[in-house]
Amino acid sequence: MSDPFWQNIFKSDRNSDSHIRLTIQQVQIFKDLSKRELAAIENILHTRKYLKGETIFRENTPGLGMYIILKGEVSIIGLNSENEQVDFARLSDGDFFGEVSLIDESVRSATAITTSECELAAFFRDDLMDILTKTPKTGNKILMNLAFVISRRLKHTNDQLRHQSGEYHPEVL
Amino acid sequence: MNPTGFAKWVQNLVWILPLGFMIWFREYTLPLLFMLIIALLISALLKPLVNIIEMLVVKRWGSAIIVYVAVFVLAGWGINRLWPVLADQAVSFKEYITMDTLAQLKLKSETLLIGLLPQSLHVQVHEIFISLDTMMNDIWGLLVANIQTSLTQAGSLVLTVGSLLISTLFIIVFSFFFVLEGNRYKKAFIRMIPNAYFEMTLHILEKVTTSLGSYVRGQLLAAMAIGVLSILGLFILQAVTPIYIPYTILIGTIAGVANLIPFVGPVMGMIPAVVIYLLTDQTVPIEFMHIVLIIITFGCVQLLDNILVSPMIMSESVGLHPLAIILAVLLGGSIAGPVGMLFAVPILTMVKVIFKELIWGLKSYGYM
Repeated sequence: MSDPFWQNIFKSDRNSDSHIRLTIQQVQIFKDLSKRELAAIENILHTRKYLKGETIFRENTPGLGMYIILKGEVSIIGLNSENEQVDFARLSDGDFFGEVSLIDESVRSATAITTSECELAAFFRDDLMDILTKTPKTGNKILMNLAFVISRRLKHTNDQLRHQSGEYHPEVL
Repeated sequence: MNPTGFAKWVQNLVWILPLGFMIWFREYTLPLLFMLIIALLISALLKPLVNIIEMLVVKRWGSAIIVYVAVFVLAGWGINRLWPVLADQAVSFKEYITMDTLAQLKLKSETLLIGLLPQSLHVQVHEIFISLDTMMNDIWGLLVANIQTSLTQAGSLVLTVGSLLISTLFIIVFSFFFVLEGNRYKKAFIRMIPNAYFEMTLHILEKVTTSLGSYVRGQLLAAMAIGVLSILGLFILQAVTPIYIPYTILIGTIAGVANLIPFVGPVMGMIPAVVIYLLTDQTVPIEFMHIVLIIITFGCVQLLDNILVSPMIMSESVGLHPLAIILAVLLGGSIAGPVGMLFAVPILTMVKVIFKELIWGLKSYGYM
């Protein structure tokens, strides 16, 4: 099949390992996915380039899904209890953020801004729903990984709150 | 502006070139756009089926080929079986409708009304029907001219590109690629959107395609259901009463298609049945009760559609104002005749869905 017309129709999902695939296979949410499944995810992702200081998403806007940092640095900012703008987190290559929006349709709880030139891959809720319908096995793996990430963050937040209030009792968890 | 920024700025402007080209050569590009829109609607219709089959055969192209072959074999078989009957009925009905039959219709309607109304009004009714005689010729001429114009208008849009067959083939090929590669085209489009509007555009696009897909599927399924139920209803009516209504399949098809127009459609679907009943020589004398029975039959079809079919289709209700519907139907009629009347409401609905989601997106993302 050397004709590009037919190649386009019968193209294979199994491309050689790309830079994107090498990064996303390190991401906790796509852990334990096969090469074929990763290739399918790579086809779905929206890769975008950002300049330094560009806003990726703003607080209180509808959340569509998560972003994976392929290259560069991102700052997650928001207002604290005293209404001051603070850096919640600084993220770099291989990190991901906004994953709660994959299951929760409510608005974003923080703003994400690039602190260097960035290359990001976006994975959205509709794409996850599509995977869950078409390939439930892959979808379930992603959902389990997502549940693991969110529960780990919840435990971490609980620990932080207990440390702050001086009532740390790990055995309660 | 740094080089990367400039490159991005140029990249964001690239879409203006093809758009400008399309507007400049609109005489040639509009029929193509029309074909692309039909192809998009067909792909929206078939996409859920392709998605389901894809779960079984894994490859999307395999699933798309299976669905297209199955649908076109079925459609071909259906057209092959139904078309001759429908065409025969349409041709025979066209030959049946002459000035004589219209005069007969007038006479029967007059007899029916005189039988129903008190004697004091008989003279007035007779005078009205006499004045109708003078109008008959004008109405007949207008009817024939209107049918011919609407057929020409409907055909010209598609025929500009080539013959109907070639256009149909192109539409099938376009829709196949939309089903197969729709997500890739969407991604390519989204890539051109500046970062600041990326999420918002994607969100709006998802909502618009979902709403429009379910609306188009819902409308077509409802039209098919109304058509089949009307044919069944008329068959049952003829089996249990002495009423004779020929051209049942033609009437059912008209009722199904007319159902695309809310409020007016169900009535428009019922009128041919009543008219054909009055035109046909019945074995028993024409009675007002028989007309009531025909109206009840179509009422039952609407009831069944509202209770059973519509909830199953779960088509998203877009809730157009009745006045907007009437205005759209009138405007559609003046632009493109009966074909325009038929498609005015679906087009208005689509425009409303697009604007609704656009405004929602702009408000939610703080641009409004």
